[in-house]
Amino acid sequence: MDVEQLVQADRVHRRVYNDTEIFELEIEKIFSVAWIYIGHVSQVQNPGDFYCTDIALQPVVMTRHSDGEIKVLFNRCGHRGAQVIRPENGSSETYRCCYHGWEYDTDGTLIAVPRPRGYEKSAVQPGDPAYGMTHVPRMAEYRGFVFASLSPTGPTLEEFLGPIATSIDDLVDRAPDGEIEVAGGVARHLYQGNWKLVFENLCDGLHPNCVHQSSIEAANQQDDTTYSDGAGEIGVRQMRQNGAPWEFWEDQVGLWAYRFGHSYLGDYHDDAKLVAARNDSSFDDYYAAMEAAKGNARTQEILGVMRWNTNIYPTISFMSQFRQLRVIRPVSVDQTEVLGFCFRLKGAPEKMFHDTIRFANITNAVASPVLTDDLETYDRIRRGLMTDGNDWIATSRGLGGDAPDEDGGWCAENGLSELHIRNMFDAWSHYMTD
Amino acid sequence: MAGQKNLEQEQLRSIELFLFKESQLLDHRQFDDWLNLFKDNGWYWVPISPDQDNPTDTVSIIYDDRKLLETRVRRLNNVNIHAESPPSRTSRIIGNIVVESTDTPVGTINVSSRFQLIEFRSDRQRLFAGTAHHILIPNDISFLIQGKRVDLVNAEGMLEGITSLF
Repeated sequence: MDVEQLVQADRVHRRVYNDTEIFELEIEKIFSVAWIYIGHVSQVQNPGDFYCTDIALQPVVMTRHSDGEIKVLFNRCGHRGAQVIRPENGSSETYRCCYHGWEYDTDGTLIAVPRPRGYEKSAVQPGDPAYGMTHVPRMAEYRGFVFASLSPTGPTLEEFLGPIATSIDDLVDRAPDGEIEVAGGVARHLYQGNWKLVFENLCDGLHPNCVHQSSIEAANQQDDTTYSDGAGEIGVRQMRQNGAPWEFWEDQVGLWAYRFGHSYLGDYHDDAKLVAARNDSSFDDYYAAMEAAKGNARTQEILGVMRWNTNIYPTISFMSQFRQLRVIRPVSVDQTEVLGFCFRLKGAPEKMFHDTIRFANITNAVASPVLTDDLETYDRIRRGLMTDGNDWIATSRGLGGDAPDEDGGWCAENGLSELHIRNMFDAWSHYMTD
Repeated sequence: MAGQKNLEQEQLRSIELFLFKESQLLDHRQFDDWLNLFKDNGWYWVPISPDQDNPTDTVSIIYDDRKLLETRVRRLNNVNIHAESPPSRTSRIIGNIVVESTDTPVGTINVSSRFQLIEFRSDRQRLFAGTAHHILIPNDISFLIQGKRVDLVNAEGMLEGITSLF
């Protein structure tokens, strides 16, 4: 069966989730072509700072060069190929390979080779780009979010993001000082399942009532008068919110999808519904700081945006209201790593950041009472798709109800639609057959 | 002096018995009884790094105040918990128990101990190891837990979903 036959209007073939050859093709055709999220500029605040990640299974490093510019380099020594920088993050004036001590400037330029006299008759010369740490073909930044592409040609980052850039705006605009920063550590986990599952799940309004039944019921039975230092307040509230009736998802929640596989769930909640931030005294301080910086009308406009998870296919899912970002990294066809980051809104009360941490603990921590049921579900999908009983997976919920959106995308009939899944597979087909 | 030494021995023995009982409750999945070992404003914390100095401005593997811990335990007892269907079986060994310090005005005792925990679920076995730090409040019969911090040796690692309590 050809790749183009694996995706149909209302169903996809199970091979897209469990065929190793398809996975290798995805690495070549999607992850080596699309704009891949590398990190946020605040992760490399000062010259010499570095942050290691990967693109298409290849180790790369984001650095801040001495001239202040951000670089994305392949993390490989020009000499014998060893990974030059091993810690995930840190800072160093130069980067020195552990093997024979080749030393690189923070932009990857080879600046020193120990005992150079052996190279007198060879091409190896400090400063020669052929022996430096190679730059990835393209990198670009949108409001502090750094992306890179292994493809020298293709759409620009702005073209790639299109209307979904407004979700990044939504996150950054909420900072009274106009800037956000990564803070609070990384919540990481690994699951047994294909990388696409997490994107599908994060905008899936139908699953919480079923997958999260145990935590919803446990939270609903929780005595509200029990002592809490704040952690339980937010955690229990979020678990209860997962139990919102389906009518709520149909009547109040929207789902939008855009070119290149991007999507977001919208109108899901306002601050009053979830964390009751508006009832907290810190919200008054935050609101005052926003008004002072941006004026009343603009503040209302910014806080009036009600988006839940935004997926920027194929690497990140994030949400502004609790300032969370997940990076999804495929490891193999049925193993995926997820890294959860938190953002601090500069100029906002520190209490809001503490709420961000509390929210991360309940949604992104590897021992979260919520997340662990999602991970179990991914593993069961992995197991279920091994059967020969049925080759097809339905993606048809809400089919026929998708309406064109004014920004050139699509709006689902309601928040229980699988529009985002169909849209991701539409992008998938384009990448895979291009 | 001998009397003082005997008192310390007695205290250490009673702490040891308490920690053994605690670990047995967890291995026997008597989560409600385990929860009752905690003071009504007690906390349970599994940091993402042994260097983490507070649960407030850094994410954790678990940070539960009493309210969240009650909800967590109630979920573990809920029949619809997919991540525990089938349930995990655990077996743990506690050792190297040391009374680190005593806060005399408040009467709490800071205890560290090492543990190794084998967990089996479905078709998979995992090994966890680390250090537990208990803040214990002595009472007439035994102790109450004011707080418990668990530092996993692989806290920063890329772990798969965790439902077991340490």
